Amino acid sequence: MKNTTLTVNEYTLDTNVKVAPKDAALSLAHIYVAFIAFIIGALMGLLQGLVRGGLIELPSWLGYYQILTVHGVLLALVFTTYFIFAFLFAGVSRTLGGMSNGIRRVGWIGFWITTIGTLLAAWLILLGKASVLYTFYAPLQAHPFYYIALTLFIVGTWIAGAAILAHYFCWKKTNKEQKTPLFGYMATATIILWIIACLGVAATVLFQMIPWAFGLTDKINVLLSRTLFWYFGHPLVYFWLLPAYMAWYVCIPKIIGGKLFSDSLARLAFVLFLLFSIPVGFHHQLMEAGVSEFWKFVQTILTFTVIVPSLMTAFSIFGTFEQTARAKGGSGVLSWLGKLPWNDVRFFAPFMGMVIFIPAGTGGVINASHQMNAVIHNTLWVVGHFHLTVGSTVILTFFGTSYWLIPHLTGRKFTPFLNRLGMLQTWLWTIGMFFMSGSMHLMGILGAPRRTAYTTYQNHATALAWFDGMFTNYVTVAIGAAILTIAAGLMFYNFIYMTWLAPKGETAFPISEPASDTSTTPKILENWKLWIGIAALLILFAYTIPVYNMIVHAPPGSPGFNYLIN
Amino acid sequence: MARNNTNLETNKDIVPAELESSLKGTFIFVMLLGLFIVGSWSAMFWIFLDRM
Amino acid sequence: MHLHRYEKIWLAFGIGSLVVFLTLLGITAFGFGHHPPSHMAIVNSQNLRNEAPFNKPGLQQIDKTTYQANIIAMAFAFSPNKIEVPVGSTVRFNVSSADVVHSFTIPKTNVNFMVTPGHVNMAEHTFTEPGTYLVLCNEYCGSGHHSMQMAIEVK
Repeated sequence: MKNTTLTVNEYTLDTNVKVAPKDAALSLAHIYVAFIAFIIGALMGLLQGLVRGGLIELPSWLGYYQILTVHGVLLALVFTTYFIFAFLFAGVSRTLGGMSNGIRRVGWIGFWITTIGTLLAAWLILLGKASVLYTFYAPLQAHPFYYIALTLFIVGTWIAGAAILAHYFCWKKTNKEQKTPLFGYMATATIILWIIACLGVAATVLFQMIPWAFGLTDKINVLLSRTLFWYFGHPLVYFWLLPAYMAWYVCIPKIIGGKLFSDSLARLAFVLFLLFSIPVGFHHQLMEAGVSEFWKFVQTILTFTVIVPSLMTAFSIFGTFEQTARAKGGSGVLSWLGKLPWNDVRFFAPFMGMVIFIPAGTGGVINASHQMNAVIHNTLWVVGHFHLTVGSTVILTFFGTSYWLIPHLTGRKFTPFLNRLGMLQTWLWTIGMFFMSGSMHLMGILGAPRRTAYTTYQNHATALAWFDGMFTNYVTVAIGAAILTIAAGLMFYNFIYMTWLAPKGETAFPISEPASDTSTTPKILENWKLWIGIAALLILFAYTIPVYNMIVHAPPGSPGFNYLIN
Repeated sequence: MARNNTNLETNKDIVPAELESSLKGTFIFVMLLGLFIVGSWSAMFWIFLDRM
Repeated sequence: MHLHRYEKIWLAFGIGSLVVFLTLLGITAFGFGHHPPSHMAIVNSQNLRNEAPFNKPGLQQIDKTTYQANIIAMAFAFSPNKIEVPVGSTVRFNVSSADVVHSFTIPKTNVNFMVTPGHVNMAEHTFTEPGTYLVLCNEYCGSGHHSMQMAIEVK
């Protein structure tokens, strides 16, 4: 019976523990959906790049905003969410022991509900009835069932999240007084963050959009729905980032042959993310009317606070690298860098993600800077920004994770051939992103808008310059997109290879042994009631008064505009 | 007495010793990162003021 | 919890920089009035054309060098689609939407704000160089979004 819960001792000693086979099947189901969504989404990205560059025209039955919706929904929502749940399910099974049959069944129920939602949404987007982009801002109105699809998607993830939380609490029960292994701790924090964040989008979809789209109410409070969306939208990006950080904190140290630098700081960083990533949604609404300067500035300050745990992470991760390299005999101020496994894609892909997080995070600080947001708001800069954050840092980490996670789950070997393909894939992705995202950032400063089909604005000089620059050119974006598509195709092949073609065998699920300071980690860091309570207080502080004003001083509501998206 | 003292001091140092192992490279890296953030932000702030 | 000496320096530097950024932003915003556009006036988006000042969209002279441009954003155009001001004029853009969410954006200036239905939003800009300035909408507003534009002639 492999399905027993591990105690901390076993966890520390036995680093060859595997994901229980039945849990592996659940995790793999998520991986399949993730990569199918990934390849379709990536191809849509190529089409967008080519259309905007004026290089191709779409056939009449395919709309630019339709493929833009497909691209955003499949990559930002579907790929990320499914990969994250695959990683979390596998990781908690690996570190807290196999899941009980009941809990696993809850996980499967979550998977199927999320998948039904995904398929329904995909169907409506294909029909052209939901070209509202992945932000679905009211009062543009999609087909009513699109909002049902979104609800199913979110509810499914809640159920899957509940399975992970239940597994964690079961472990706690049988391991009283034990410190939760770092992976389980971080998975719990991530799921709690996700559930609190989704309350906002659930509120606007259930109480505003569904009654309005089905005709039960004829008007909608636009500003309130945008605010509820961004209450969700910013922690959403941390829901993408935290699993990548988990791989950095928990898996990478093992891959490079060392151990994490500090346990308590890692946990503290996650607590800070839980507290400060939610009451910050106004920094996406800095340029809109109806929210006062004061409350915008309050949330700007809170946004700057959530930068701190990332500053801590930069030190922790690099510190882990340096300590490991020195323990292996590395010396000098920087020459120890040579001791890191540069030729191992399981390290190299996430490492490139970390490097890219430097400009990505810096761009984020700029975006959140109150009135300065006017320089880049809704320009291509923003698109460049999130292609660096989620589209490079997070995704390269997920790719790097795939190279051991998928073969581990399918009972196959991580081969030197696969490693070479992975290294090539990582370079192609990085180079493609340099061209695409780099030019997008600069063109954004020159005013090129995001989310806009091919246009020269009646040959206006300002717009023509976007087709004319050496580097700041829509064609550079298209070239980058083409390189990225080759990289995406290669990654899809790697997925196929790892799932069905690689030689049978075993691949380790790398989990770092606990850091040397683990015994001194304060217990309070695992007091979830306390952290959820403080998070709730911060949310109430940041949102109560402005949301009250939005409701009490609301303008007459907006009817739905569904004819504008056809 | 003196020996005891030394012992105590070494003991005190042992706990952080591993953490205090050289992190010069890390320090250089994060400070460069900090300068990059400050430089980029300042450039953008300058653009904002210039466009006013 | 133990912090390495270098980490203390790093966090002090990092957090210190963030505090400096916030201070600069706070001073320019609250001290000099360079706030993000956050106008609080509300209108009925479905009756916009009958409500002042949007019943007469266009330019209004306030004093010798100051104008107010009352503009309606709608799918997929601005009304009026062209205004003319002399070089050196300061124009206060006063914009509202007749239907969905739009933006009012003049590339390469700080005039770049959201126009949400039911709300009026504002920004000011002084045009010191002559030329034809492009105004565009950078918030997706439907199938014709990319054709939404207007012009500001500065002579």
